[in-house]
Amino acid sequence: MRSKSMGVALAGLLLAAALILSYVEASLPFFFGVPGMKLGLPNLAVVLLLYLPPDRTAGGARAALTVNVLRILIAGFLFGSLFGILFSAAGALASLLVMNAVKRTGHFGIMGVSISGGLSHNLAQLLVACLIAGLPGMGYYAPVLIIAGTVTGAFIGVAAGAVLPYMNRLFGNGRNET
Amino acid sequence: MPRTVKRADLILFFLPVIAGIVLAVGCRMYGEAADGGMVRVYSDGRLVAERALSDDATFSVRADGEVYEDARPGETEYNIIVIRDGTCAVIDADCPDGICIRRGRISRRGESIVCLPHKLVAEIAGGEEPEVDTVAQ
Repeated sequence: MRSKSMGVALAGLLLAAALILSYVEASLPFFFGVPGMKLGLPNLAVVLLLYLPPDRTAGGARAALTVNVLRILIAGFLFGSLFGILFSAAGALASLLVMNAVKRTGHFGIMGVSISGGLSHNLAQLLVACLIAGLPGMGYYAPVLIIAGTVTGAFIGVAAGAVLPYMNRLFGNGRNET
Repeated sequence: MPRTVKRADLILFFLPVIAGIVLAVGCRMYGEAADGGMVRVYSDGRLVAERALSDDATFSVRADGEVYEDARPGETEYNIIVIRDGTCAVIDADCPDGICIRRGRISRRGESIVCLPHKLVAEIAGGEEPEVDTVAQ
């Protein structure tokens, strides 16, 4: 049986993992002159949280939201700027909303949920860049960002799908195991 | 344990990728030929400089929108823009990611260089009317 403190520890663990992945991502020169193009590695922790049993303190959409907001704030102050926080917050919150909705339909697997997250993340950032930040030239990058969001989302989804069984065995519903 | 990859997942993968490729090809066709084109530089959404692609020039733009007619690498939060041989490029900047420099040269209509940290956009505008419009009419 998972205790409440175990759930809090799990959320903290995934928050730490997300922060490390944020750092790795901030130091990776992955983008090819395309602004806003990222691997979305921290999303791995968020996808995992969405899929962990929600009937405990950690796992489910609420825990994913908490960890995501904390991740953006901490990573933003550590590796980014205030302007960067606005960007990542728009992307991350949109992707979390969409992923939760897509997951609830029940038609999609973890890969599809992750793809929807990557896609909506990039589109939300594009929207913020165009509307709020007033960067009209960003529209030119829409096709690249759509493809990038889909492909990186698929990668994250496959990785999360591979990790999830082990996470479940460690932290999931301990009813089947002693 | 259900199958990891469902059919809906594959649809969700291929649909955006194909849509993205179609859009990219569309942009390419729209962007053909920038003869007589202009470089428009926006700072924080405000048009701060407009130069002809045909006139070679070097100037720098500060993040607050101030334009200098020479390269001034000593300034804080700057992007140095060079127009040469009908192409435009950011050759130096002190933004943290340097994406604008890595973007390289742009010359096609609609192409743009974006520096998110400095909220700077340099885009190619004007030039010949693209053929696509004539076909659409």
